[in-house]
Amino acid sequence: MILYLLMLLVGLLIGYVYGKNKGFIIGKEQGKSEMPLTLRQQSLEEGYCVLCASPSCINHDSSSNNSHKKEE
Amino acid sequence: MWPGIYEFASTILAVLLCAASIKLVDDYLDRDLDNRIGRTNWAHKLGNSTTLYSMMLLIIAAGLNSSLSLSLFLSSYIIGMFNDLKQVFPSKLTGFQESLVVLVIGVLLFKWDYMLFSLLFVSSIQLIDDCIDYNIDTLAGYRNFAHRFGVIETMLIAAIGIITSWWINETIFTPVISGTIIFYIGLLYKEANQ
Repeated sequence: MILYLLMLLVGLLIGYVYGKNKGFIIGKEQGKSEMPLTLRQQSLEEGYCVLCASPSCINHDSSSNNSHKKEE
Repeated sequence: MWPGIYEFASTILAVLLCAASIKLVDDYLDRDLDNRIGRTNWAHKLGNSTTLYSMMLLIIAAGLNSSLSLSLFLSSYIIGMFNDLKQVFPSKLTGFQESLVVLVIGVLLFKWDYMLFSLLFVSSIQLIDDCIDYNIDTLAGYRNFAHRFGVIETMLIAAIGIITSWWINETIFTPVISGTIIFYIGLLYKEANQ
């Protein structure tokens, strides 16, 4: 009975540590893909770049994007 | 039946006295840190007599059950060294070397299963204590095991340690865990009322 309890706890620990690390990796990937979009959305809403606080930065970005679309 | 009850009660009392002795030594060593963060500490009340009272409690505990109480005390000494493994002590040995010497002495003097039981049990209690002291240690700027590994992981490792010690020596496990729970309840009750 003690041995079964021990095995259960060891399994729980391995599962928890594996799940936590996997969750961190997935969360980091999701954050990486979501952050540029969030920053861009906030910058466009505010009217200036939320990273460097300069309005020219987003104008340059949007113009470059427009030119990129025209090229396509 | 009565010898069984006496054996059980005397083991609980030995664990209680040994735990109190370890607590007094720990408080004496941590008196400056506890003073800084305003935590209650027995060394502030007892002063220089703290270690003397600790020795008295340990002697009485050893009189009741020498193998168990002394192996518990040696194990707590080894576990206490884990934070200063590389530090050189007055014995000219590092923390790691000292804990190794104490472990060998413990295994030679007492039964190996008592020493292994004590080592696992005390390390588990230390891990649970780290989880309890999580917020206080954060305020003091001290990173304990719960900070390094996470609270849930630390609690699970502690549970595995306690169950393993139960598996190693089933006969003394019940009185030892009972004594520890009684001691902790008393300690928390005392700290809550201060």
